[in-house]
Amino acid sequence: MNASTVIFIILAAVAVVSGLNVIFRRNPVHSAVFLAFTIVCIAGMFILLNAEFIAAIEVIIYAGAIIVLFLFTMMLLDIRGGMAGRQLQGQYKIAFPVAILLLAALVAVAIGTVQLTGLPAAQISSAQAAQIGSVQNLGQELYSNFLLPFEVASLVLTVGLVGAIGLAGRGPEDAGEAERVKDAEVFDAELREAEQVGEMHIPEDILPAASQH
Amino acid sequence: MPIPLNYLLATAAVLFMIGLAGVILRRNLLIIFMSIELMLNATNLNLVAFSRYLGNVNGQIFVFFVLVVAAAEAAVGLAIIVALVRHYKDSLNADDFNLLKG
Repeated sequence: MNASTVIFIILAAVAVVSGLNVIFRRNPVHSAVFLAFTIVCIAGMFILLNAEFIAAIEVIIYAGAIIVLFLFTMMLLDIRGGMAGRQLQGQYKIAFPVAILLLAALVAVAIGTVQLTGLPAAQISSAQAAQIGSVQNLGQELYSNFLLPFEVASLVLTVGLVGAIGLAGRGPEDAGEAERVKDAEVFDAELREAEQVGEMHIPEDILPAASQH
Repeated sequence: MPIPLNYLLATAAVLFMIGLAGVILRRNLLIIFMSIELMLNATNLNLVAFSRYLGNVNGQIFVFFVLVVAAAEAAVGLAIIVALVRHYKDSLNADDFNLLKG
């Protein structure tokens, strides 16, 4: 067992423990912080696999952008409201054994594949792998063979940006809704006043309840 | 001698199952979302591992695109959660949102 395998086992153990904490913590803020731990461990594994560029963008995008986005969302929402009540779904008694069975099957397939097919057929040396995972090689591939998917990726990001602003932003129809509610309130108040003064008689079922809005 | 491929695949499987268990078991929308991110990361680990052992760069390119989709998905998903909580129901419990239930 060499040094990189030992480092890998430590990283994997930390990643798995943090991953379990992500799903079993009551407080979503703690979950987000543990998710960041897991991401950093996975980035460390990428470095061990000679994929330095991917490790860098993993940390930048996940730990730097997505988890901060999660924390901002928790700041905007009053998360205490969502913490009330039971935290686990009712089906956990069945889901736990099924999850463990599926895990056993996945691990068996993962190990069995390697044993049966004899992967990796040709040993790639560390220097070769570093050359493959270099920014130069990735950039060359991205701008030649994967040019169309690369452009589509920019489209996906633009749609995501527009969609996020459209969904979460306070649009003009939002203000219109508030105005309509206010107009209805004023109308109801006038109606009730007219009834009290005796200008007109309004049947009880038409008169809106005072607490409606 | 590099890290055995077995170890990498087993770690990715464990992380993926943790994410799946989170999606199935938890009721908090934000934690369900984080579990999805965990599953995407487990897949990324598999892709990079095979890229390393087959000497093929395509796996790493795929991870790049998975990251792009994950970023867009997180932005839109969290925007949906914010919109739901602000306009529909003041809750983060997935059981409270059953608009599409027949």
